[in-house]
Amino acid sequence: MISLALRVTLRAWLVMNRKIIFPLLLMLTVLALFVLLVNPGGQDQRFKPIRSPTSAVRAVIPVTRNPNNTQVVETDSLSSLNGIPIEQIVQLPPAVAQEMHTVYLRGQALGNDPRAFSKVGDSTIENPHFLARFDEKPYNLGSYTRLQGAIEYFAGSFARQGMAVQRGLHSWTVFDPMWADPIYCEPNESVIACEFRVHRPSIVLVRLGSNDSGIPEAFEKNLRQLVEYSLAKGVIPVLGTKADRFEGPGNTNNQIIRRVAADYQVPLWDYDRVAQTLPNNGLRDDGIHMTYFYEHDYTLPNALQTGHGVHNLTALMMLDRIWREVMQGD
Amino acid sequence: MTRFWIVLGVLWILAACANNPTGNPARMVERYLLAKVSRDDTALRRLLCSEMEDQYERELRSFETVSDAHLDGMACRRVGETNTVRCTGVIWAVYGSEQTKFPLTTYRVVWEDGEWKWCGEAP
Repeated sequence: MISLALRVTLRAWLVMNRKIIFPLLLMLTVLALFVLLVNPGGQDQRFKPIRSPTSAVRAVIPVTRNPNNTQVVETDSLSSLNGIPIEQIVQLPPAVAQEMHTVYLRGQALGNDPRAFSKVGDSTIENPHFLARFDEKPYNLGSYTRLQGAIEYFAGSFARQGMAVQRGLHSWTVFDPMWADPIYCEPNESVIACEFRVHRPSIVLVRLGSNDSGIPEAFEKNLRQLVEYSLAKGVIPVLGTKADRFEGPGNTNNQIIRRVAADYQVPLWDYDRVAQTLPNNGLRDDGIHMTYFYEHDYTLPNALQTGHGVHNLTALMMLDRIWREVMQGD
Repeated sequence: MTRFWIVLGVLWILAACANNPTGNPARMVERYLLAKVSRDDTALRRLLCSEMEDQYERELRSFETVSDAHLDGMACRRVGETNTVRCTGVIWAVYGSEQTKFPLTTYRVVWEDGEWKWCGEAP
């Protein structure tokens, strides 16, 4: 091959003017060297993975556990929260993401809104403290500006309380038509069915268990029914754990929530893990409702020390992960 | 022979009455709603139709997490000769410091085991 090229070059040199051939060959050689340096493996850039492995943003943020201590540490703002790895709080392993992508596609075929999410739960997630500010503003994400994309993508759902967030709601009443709003809901339509019909969500954040006590078997049965219903409707159910121990000291309901998430391979938003790092577990004196974070400014020292501050942030992280890894998946 | 026909007639009328729904379904619905807010498990179990037996737990615990659940201005009437009963009035319940209102609506009733039973909201 090389000898053939040499012979052709020699003949061309003999036939044509050497003043044209030599500069041309020199230019081609330089060009080839440049291409090899830029793309040494010869990979086609079109097939580079869309997602970076963890896409962690490194930032310098102050240590917030001790506000008087001005020590500044370099920390990975998207890999841990108050010392708890994000992967333990926002649980969406690749196998679950892949499964949820199938659910998402089914939902799209059924006419669900790809930019809508719903909430199901009790007073602990009612407006205005749960997520609403991300629609209503102002807020400051501080080191978490990467989450802004999810805020823009799901705009309109954050401040919407919907049909399925009600004071005193528990796992039984999710399917009770008597608890459904007669103005918006059809006769004999359950709370959850009404919410799905009216808002057409692609994701549902489920925060139940604070009002379910005494009969863990029934709570588990109802939660499984809710997950199955959501999956059948093409809605990705995100099961959230809670900080309170209303049902007793055994943390029974959170264990049920974790078990159901694992059994059905659905995303688990394990808020309880990080709540344990907060003063009084991020709860007010009643032991159920979370401590306020009116400022919604994640540059403030108390941002990661309040129940609602961390609750909102981790919920947003989960929405961001689903948006990036499930909805934008192949 | 005449006596035979009279007895036969009476028996026929009694049999017909036994198969036809009697009583007032509207009163039954009122009893059911009262049992639901007061969490009267015996009455709920008796008045719930067989189709909804698996929903018994949900019906019993519907107002478990709220306090002072009570009916206000309840008035129920059967809609013509249909199997539906329309009710007006509300259920009030307190959660925390706030009152929640559950407006009454139209309910489906069925005749089972010789009495009217509550069978959910009418479609």
